[in-house]
Amino acid sequence: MARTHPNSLLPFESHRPELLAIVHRGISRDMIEHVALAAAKCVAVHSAPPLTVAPLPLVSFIFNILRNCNVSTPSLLVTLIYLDRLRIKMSRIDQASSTAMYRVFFAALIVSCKYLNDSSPKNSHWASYAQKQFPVAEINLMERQLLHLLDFDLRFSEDDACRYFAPFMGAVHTRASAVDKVAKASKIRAQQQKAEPSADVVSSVCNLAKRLSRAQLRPETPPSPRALSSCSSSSSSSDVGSLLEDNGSSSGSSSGWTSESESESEDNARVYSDTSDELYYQALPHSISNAKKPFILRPTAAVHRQRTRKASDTSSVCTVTARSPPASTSLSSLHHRRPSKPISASTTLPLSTSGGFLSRMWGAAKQSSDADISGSLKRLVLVSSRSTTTQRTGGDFNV
Amino acid sequence: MNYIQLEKLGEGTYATVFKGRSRTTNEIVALKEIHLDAEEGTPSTAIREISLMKELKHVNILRLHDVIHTETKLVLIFEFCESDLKKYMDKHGERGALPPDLVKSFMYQLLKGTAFCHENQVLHRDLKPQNLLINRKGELKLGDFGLARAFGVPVNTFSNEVVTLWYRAPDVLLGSRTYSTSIDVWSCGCIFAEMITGVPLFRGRDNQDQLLHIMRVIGTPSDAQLKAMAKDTPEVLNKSFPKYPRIPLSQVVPKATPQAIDLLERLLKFDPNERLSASDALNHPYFQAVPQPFPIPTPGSMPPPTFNFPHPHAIPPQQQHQAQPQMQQQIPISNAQFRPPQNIPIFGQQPHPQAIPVHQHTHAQAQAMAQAQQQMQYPYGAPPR
Repeated sequence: MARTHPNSLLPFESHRPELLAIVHRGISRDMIEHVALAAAKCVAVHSAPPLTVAPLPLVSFIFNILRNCNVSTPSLLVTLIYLDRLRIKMSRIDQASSTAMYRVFFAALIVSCKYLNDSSPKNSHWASYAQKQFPVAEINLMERQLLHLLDFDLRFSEDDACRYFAPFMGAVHTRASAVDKVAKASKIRAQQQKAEPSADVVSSVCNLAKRLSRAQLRPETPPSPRALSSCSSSSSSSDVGSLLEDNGSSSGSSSGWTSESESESEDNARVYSDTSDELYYQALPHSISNAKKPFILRPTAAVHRQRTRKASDTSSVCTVTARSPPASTSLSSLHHRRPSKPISASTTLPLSTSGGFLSRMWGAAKQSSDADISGSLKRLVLVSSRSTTTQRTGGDFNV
Repeated sequence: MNYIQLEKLGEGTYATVFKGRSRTTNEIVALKEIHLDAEEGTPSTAIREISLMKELKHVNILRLHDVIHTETKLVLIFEFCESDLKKYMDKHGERGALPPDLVKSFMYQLLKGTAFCHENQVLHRDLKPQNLLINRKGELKLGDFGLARAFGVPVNTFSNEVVTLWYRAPDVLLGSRTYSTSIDVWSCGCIFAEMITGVPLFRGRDNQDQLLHIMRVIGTPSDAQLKAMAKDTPEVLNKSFPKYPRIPLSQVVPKATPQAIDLLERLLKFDPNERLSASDALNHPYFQAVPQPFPIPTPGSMPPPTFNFPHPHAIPPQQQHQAQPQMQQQIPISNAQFRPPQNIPIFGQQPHPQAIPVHQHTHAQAQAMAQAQQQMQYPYGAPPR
């Protein structure tokens, strides 16, 4: 009797070996960038030229979530399928709120984990994996909206999986080109950082701003970039050691926190969460002119950290070393400790945070050919808008 | 809501089921209301139940019509069925036992629905009489897909805490996570025997006790057999068990015909690889003279409204079992009188005057006897927990 594969309950031989290889592989940087790009494309369907590079803050957001919980490689990659299904349904959206891509990704990941695994975290756990950047009520809402937009259509075939996972399957495939682009972009970014930091910071921020404006991300509140950072790391895109390099190039902060310099920490998990908060809050310069405002460079102590994932985590996201430049360069590292703050409470975030998301969902529902979905969404939106208004302090909601 | 909520049909920890009526079509439906926990979000069981059931369109699978998802609750709108197999047996069975032709009809429909799930690469993982719904046409439908999973793409993880204990296959009891469609087939076998006798076949208290119950009937598998199973599924615990001889099933299920016994034996194989598949079981000689599974509507007759039914999900089998003697009604059905579909006992139908009395213990007695037996069968003291 042929041995049964524990993840499919079918014989090993019935599967493509490349697919099986992915299942047992750890999550790599490529994968995170690829998923981030898919999420960004999902909410920016009209961006011209089409997005080719994953937005860095989203990459960091994803990385930070994955660091806090043990998501299997397939659970992450299956979000590609859901995000693509969602993208098709969202093809008539004019404008996306700046947090939309975080939301669609997060909801897709939660749903994928719930669908694929017999035991999966509760939404309250997910809230803490994301450092409470989203309150549970909001996570529940985005999950519900995603399920409705997908019409609970969560099943997929092995062919679907192979098609979407192709970039990581070693097989020559059309999608592989997308990954090449991502890899090239990250190399470029890495090179930029390797150059003289203080000179390059401006250009990298400008680059970022360009990319982001192409991505049609329009935070309504102009951010005032303050903290800048630089990290040196390996430039190899497949090397997870370079996971932090993006953090270095993404810069600018919208909220006026005071950064503390941090001493070396043994608490690896903690270190990561600090990073994530900042990254997440680095609001994106929404235009180049904004990005060109003078930077305030903050001094920081040199930090050199070794980060290790839990043994249970995927092997490839293993050890990340981040070095800040010498303190004398007056560049602040990204690793400031900073209290978490729920996104909905942040005054620096677009006022229409949830409203934008809802209206997008609504727009998608309206153009959906399926009258049923549309009807249930109408209900959904009505119900959720009521619930959202009550849970929010006023002004945050504008459906 | 587009549905008017009528009386409550059943309640569980996870969901409450109401009868309902559509405002637009006046159709009677069942509303399964799932309370949403703010911490959990949408339960994964509900996500999978909806995702799978909306795809599985078969006469022997409960049809999901609609889903209403709000902040505090998730309402699934199902077709309405008047009863479930458990209640049906209590109400219409001869001390729970159903007449042979009805058993054959239900068994055929059960295997049909199960085979359809398996063809579509879905495991039900919770087949039991409480989850099989019966409508007034005598149609049996698989319900409650809360534990069901799609399989076949190597991206899933599977738990071995599946299936209600009494209907749980021995490979799962041994800890296997690489089970397959054969676990549903085992449950079908258990249900088959239960429909014939009126009493659940294996009634263990826990995992280990359940295994011993099974072994006392179908015999302890040989070491070679256990070893072979452990090879297929490395996670199977290598325990040693008391050596029980195999008891002929004709002693355990004395009322069954030889063909029924033969089918039962092929369904209740200890080794999952030896179990018949649901689709092969449908070709078993037992079904050769299968009674018409569905009623043929007489020309011009109006079909009865379709509906659905109270969800048995949360009532533990033990409780239901204890409640059984009171619920039991003496409505024996004459075998000769049973001509499916027209003669399927409909709810509220008069008991047949020519019913053949069957001598059988009541459930309470049977349970007491089983417990006494159990105590006798533990020569080494209390059973391991």
